[in-house]
Amino acid sequence: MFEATPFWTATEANRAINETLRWWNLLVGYWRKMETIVTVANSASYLLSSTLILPARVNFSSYPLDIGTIFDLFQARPNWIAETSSLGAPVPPRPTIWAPIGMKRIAIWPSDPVGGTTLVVDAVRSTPVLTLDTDFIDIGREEFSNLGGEALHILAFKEGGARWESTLHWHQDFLKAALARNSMLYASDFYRRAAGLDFGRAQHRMRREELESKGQQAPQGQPQ
Amino acid sequence: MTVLDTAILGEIQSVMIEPEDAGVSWASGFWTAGEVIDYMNDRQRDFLKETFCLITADTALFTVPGVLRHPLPQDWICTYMALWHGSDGTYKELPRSDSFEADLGQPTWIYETKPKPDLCSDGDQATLTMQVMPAASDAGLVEILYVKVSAALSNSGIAFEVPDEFVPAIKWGVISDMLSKIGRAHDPRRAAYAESRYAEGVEAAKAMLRGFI
Repeated sequence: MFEATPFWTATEANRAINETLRWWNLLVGYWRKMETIVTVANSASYLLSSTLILPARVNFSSYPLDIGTIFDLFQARPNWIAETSSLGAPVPPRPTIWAPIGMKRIAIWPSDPVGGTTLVVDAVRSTPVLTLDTDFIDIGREEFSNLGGEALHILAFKEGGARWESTLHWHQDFLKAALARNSMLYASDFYRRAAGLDFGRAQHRMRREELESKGQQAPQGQPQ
Repeated sequence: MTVLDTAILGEIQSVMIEPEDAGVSWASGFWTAGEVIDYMNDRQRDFLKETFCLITADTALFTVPGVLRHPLPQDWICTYMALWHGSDGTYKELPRSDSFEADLGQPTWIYETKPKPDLCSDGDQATLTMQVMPAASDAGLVEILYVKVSAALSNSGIAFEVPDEFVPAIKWGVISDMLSKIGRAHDPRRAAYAESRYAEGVEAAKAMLRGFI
């Protein structure tokens, strides 16, 4: 069918590609960055820079910290916020635990009584934005098919109807590729369904294989 | 953080086959500019409330000894955690509870005091107040970690407060609201799909906060 005027503009294509990259980073934490924070005396909580979207690993002066939650810390050490590493046993002599508080803040226990030491945070960083056709991102060619499919699917929403619905499986392929990289999402019931991996048992007919192969019906009264 | 409301309004206009002008006007007349801006603000605030992805910390409430209920900040949406910061410098977590549970567990909580309260509640008393149970006799402070109301978006270049990666989810939420409106643009099929994309963003944020990968 002849279309004299393109339905999508180059701007819309760029937006769809950038949206796809953002979903990809959100789902698999693809782009990472290390940030150094200098500790402040007696401070248990630190704010991350705006380019980091989620801390994944923290070390204090090259010692890795174990991840915890502030709820766990309150259970184990009710006054943990006020505890510093100079208090002596049972408080350890350097920070040993970090806990995320939302996505932009972390807490450490015990806090550094002196300050001036480096906390190195490994984190998921914000997604690079492509603006020019000559822009590059560091991503493997093997991901192109899934990312391209998702971008086309996002674009097809504008048109709606049968053509858009025929692209829905590209979104599922995109989610399956993300789930293959992210075991947390793979364990999520919500995402397994969204990716088309889980169906209700009622949708599967239970049949005996030997009868199926001969094209026979199961005897009446027997489960199928 | 870096994505502006005008950029997302322009994207939504292109999806809805409207002339793009950063959300200043909606030529079809199906929606007004204010209506779409409200959808956008509602979705961002709902996202913040659902995911606890951005938490404001170190906020002390105006706490008076012997008083059960203390005012919450005006920009409060929901509480992540409440602490009692005693006058001796120590901290104590105040687990979330409610008056009914306190009635059963500690019937004298309304008129007796303790140096440090045991529980807190922000659900069964006047709006924008936090109740401690029992009231504290000590001159400490209630400190809360909470989700605050995001700055109002408009069509004048205000940045979203959620990280950029979550902005597409909010965009889909707005599209869902627009296509759900009863009117000539009502499109339940695409609205349901857009809602599912918003839910994917919320679920991804929750998965990230549980521990990533």
